[in-house]
Amino acid sequence: MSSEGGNQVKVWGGKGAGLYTMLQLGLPVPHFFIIPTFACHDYLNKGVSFFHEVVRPQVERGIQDIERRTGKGYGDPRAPLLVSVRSAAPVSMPGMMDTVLSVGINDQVREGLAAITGCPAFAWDCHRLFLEMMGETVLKIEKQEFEQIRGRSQPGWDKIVRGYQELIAERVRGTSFDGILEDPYKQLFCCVKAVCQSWRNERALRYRRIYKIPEDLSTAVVIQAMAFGNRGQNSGAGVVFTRNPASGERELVGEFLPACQGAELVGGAAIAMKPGWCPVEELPEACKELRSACAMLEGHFKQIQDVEFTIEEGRLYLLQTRDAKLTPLANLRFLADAVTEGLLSQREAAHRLQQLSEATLEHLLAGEMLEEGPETQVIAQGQGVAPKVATGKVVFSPKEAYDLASGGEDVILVRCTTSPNDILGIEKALGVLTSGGGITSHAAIICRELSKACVVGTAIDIDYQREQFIAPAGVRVRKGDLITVDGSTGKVFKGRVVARQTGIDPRLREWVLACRKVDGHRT
Amino acid sequence: MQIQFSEHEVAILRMLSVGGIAEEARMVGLLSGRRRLAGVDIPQVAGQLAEMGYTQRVPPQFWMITDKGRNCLRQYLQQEREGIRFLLWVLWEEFRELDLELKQVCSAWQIKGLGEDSVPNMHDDPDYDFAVIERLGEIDSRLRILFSRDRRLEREFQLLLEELRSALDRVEAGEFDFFTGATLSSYHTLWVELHEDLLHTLGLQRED
Repeated sequence: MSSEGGNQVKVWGGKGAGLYTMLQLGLPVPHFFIIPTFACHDYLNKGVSFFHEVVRPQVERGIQDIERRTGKGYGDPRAPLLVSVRSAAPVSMPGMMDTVLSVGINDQVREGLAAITGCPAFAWDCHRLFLEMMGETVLKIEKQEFEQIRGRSQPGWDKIVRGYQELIAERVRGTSFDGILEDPYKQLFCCVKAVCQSWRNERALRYRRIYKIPEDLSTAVVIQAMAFGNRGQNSGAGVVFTRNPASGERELVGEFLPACQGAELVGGAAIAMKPGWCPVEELPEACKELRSACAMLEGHFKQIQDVEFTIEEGRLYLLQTRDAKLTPLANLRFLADAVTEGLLSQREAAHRLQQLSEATLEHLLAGEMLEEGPETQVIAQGQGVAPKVATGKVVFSPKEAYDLASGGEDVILVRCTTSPNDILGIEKALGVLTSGGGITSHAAIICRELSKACVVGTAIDIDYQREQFIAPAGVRVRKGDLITVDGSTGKVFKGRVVARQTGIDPRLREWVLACRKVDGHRT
Repeated sequence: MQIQFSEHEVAILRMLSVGGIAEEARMVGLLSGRRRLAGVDIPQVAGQLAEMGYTQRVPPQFWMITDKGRNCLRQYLQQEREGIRFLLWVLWEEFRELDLELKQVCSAWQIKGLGEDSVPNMHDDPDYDFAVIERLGEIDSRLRILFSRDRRLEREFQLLLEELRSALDRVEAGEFDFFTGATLSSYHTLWVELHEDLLHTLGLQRED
């Protein structure tokens, strides 16, 4: 998030601040309000009385405000307003905390929604989604229990929803959640509380412990009018990166699923990102609007954005924007391109470059590839264990590797398979070559840890007694012969092969070096 | 003949058994951080083992396990665990599956992608790292379930399981070297020792 958003992020969370910025930019965002981080913090520390005295009136006022702006009524079957209740932490903790969609639905509201939209299947789907998400988040019902009901129900959302309702009714009977199926406000308050509490769930605690995120930050809660991606084929949910997050190339990359809600998209195991393509070409108006929104967001945040959106009956709504997670290469490319495009000044870009760790930058600059020419001879091909290249004399025993290497020789240890038992030799050799073994073996793990060039699975025929191996290409290699192993491509060469710098294209390399010159202390 | 080793001696022999030979500094570095070995003079214990022919000091600064040391460690572990070897056979296949997963998880910690497309994990993506750490946590839980099937198993492997727990705790406290680090008692180092221990106890040879 940009520096101007720093304080907003602390109070409204990353998601909340992003929404606020999109609103200011005039982008299409469904109406929303936010329970700030400090209010959730106080609720978590002071308890339920604080919620009822302070948070609850805020929520009621916020809902009235959305009702006024949308002309809909929360819990009103004649013009139903459904909302999403989403966590918005001030630091990125993706997937750690909870969200509930389609809050404010009961049997009457569902019927109203079906009548107004003329689409009962859509209304049932909303009800089904709410019950699942609320059940898991608020009532801590295991996902599998819902799956079991889905598995044994007759076809049709109505049967499934009835099954869910029976399960939940049984679970809440005699508890403080009694009535949650019917009462939209009870649904809302319980969801807000549960989302606040998700700051303290076990995974979130573990995440914060690892990354030293202060415990007392707490989350904000965004309550937002629902945009329905599940209203049919002219609707859907998607995510889009404003540029390619792997290469940094200037092209939209994203995924769009028709007739579905965002939670089902981002909650999936993996999204198949398709580069060079507008995620919603089937809907030209929305696509045009999305392209323009992406450019605007990138211009504002001066960073590649990862944008979540929903299209409801052809109309675009933006639900979230955040700085995209980029590979170091994409980061570099963006910075260089942003200077050319006038998005960033050279000074700003150089400053941002500083934020990349020295090790990352070194890796990018030091990327190397072997210069294959007519004189080079590939004698074997295996699997590379780690992107590293080494040339050295062939030895066949760990002890010998140790002795020669201790005497200052560059050696490549050649073994049938690698084993942790060879660790002493591995430690001293520059590279390791094996006939068998796999890239995830214990020894491969140790090789990587010790930064060794290692190629496994080359099917070379090793004769320990004669101290030689015969490569599949028929070449005989004896102890003391020079070979080169490329742990990236898995190629093995006879003799020394010169490595050529290739990690990044020359233009980027020049640019980085120029930036580093300006930034004197890092040269 | 009954062989007797102390807990400290077993730890040293098992560690040396994995690598065959180790520099003294590495051996001390690997072992002295372990709770049950805190304050123990590792080279002195290795020296006592050398007097009995189980280890050997290799100038200038190495310790290696002798064939006798390796055989006696194997014999000792088999003799001590005679009553539970059948239990270990029962869990062996499951352990191997876990071992496979552990190796994948450790690789995922070190590199992203495999083969030509792999790049070193620069640990600049907390979410990626957290997901890998979670997978490690799951493997650790499943390992504990495996060994908690029988009290005797749990008791016998308590020390190694405790050490693994402590390495995982350190990873989860942000000390990432304790994931796959090769020169300290990382989770991977300890796992390989557990693997070695099981191989000895069951009289098997290492395959990788």
